[in-house]
Formats: sequence, structure tokens, C-alpha cells
Amino acid sequence: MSNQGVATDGTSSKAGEVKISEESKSLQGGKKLSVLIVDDDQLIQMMHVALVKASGVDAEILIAENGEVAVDLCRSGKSFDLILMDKHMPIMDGVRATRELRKMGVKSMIIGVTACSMDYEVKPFIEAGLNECYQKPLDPEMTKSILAKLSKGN
Amino acid sequence: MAAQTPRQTMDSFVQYVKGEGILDDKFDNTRNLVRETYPEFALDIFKNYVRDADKLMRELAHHLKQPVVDYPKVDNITHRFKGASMSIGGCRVVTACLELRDACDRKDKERCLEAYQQVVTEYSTLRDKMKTICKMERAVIDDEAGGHSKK
Repeated sequence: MSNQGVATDGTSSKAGEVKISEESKSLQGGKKLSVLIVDDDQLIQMMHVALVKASGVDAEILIAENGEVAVDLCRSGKSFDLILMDKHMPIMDGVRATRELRKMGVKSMIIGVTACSMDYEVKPFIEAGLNECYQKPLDPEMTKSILAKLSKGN
Repeated sequence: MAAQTPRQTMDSFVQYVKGEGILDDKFDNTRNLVRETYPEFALDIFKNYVRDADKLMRELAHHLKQPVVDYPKVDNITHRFKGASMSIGGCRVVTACLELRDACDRKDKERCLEAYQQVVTEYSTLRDKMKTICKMERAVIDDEAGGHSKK
């Protein structure tokens, strides 16, 4: 069953199985990573799914097209190791969604990913409860860094 | 003298476009992402970009034609356009979008229209190059799938 606004991306890449390197295995301690990508831009959704897959990590990836869908998912009992949260989204933006998730007691690593570059734009986003914030789009190095921090946290 | 492979042709073209300042290194990041496991990924991204950007440009044109400009709306559309353009390395479009956002912030209609014209110009240039890149990328995919590059 899929919720409105949620796409489920399979754990395999389109052309075959995701290969798990020894380095990636050690990053996640042998368990499948649960990742939620929250962004209304289909282009960014595609890129971030590809980045997570390209990291070699065995991940289950869900996509939510706005903050409200993300909050509803967590409220329904879904838990995630990593949430990639866009800032500007319709219905519920990333700042509100992050604040809401933290108020609910969600302990996932929430990484803000935004096209905003000015401090005054990014500060409220971080203060809402992000672990970190990056400028979009993520690149392979940023993704590796995020996954390494996630593994240290675990 | 050996003929260039489709990949070499595309690499040369991309170098030229980057030299003109139309694309930056984010383009290469996108282009090379998951290439081995999903060869059509970059082509899908580029086609999606052009489709989405065309739509956003139509929305911008519509809102800026109104007698009273809805600045928050124009700002929102421009922000989305800037984000999408940033993803594929369209740096000159990004700069033009920043100017338009600044004009919206100042609620300066004349400046908005000037900045919008710059966005139109830069996007038109980028779009033209992206169309060529999509054709070239298609040729690279077909060539490498067929194994013809070994000739």
C-alpha cells in the first residue's frame, strides 16, 4: 500500500542488484538503511535516490513530495535512519516538517538540503532540528560524509 | 586519423560549453552519477530538466504579465527554477534567477522585468545546449551499448 505523495523505490538499481562494498557494509553494520527523501522536485528526488544507491549502501528508499507526507509517514509508525529534507515545499515546508518531527520525538538523522545559500535563510532550518544542512544538490562526497556520520551515530 | 567516438565528441562539446561559462562542474557530477548501473540516468535528468524548466518559464511569463505582480509567487517559481538549474550545473541561469529573486524582494516591477529578460536569455542559451547534449548523450548510450566504440 502506498500513501498519496509517497513513492517507493526498490532496493535494486534499474540495471541490476546494488553491489555492497566491504566499506559500505561497515558503514551500516550489516542492516538495511531506511532513507526518506522529502522533496517536491522530481529532478532532485531522482538525483538523491541515485546518490544513495551509488554509495553502495543497501537501502530502502521512500520519497515524500512535501513535509506533511513525511510527518504523516512518521506518525503512522514508519521510522527512518536518514531523512533528506528540502526546505521549500508546498503544503508543509522543511522547516515546519523538521520542527514537527522533532516534537514527535523522531530521532532520525535529518539532513537539510536546500537551494538557499544565505545564513538568514538557512539558520531557521537548522534551528528547527536538523543534524546538518547542505546546499543542493548533494554530490557523492557529501553523501559519503553523511553516511559515515550515520554509521558513527549507530 | 581515427574518427572521434560519440563520447569523445560529447566530452569536447561539454568542455566548450563549460568554457563559455554556461555549465559548471555540477553538470559532470550529474552526468557521471550511476553511469555504470543506470546508463540512461543522465539523459533522463536532462530531459526532465528541460521539461520542468519550460513549464516554470511559462508560469513566470504568466505572472509577470499581470498588471499587479504577485511577488511571493514569482519568487517561489524562480527559487524552484534556480534549484533545478543548479542541479545540472546551469550556473548562468542560476545567477539570473538570483537577480530576479532580488528584484522580487524589493517589489520592483521594472527591475523584475529586466531580470526576467536575463533569465529568458540565459535559459534560451542553456536549453539550446541541453538539447544538443541530450542528442549526444543518446548517441553515447547507443554506441556503448552496441560496443561500437571499440572500432
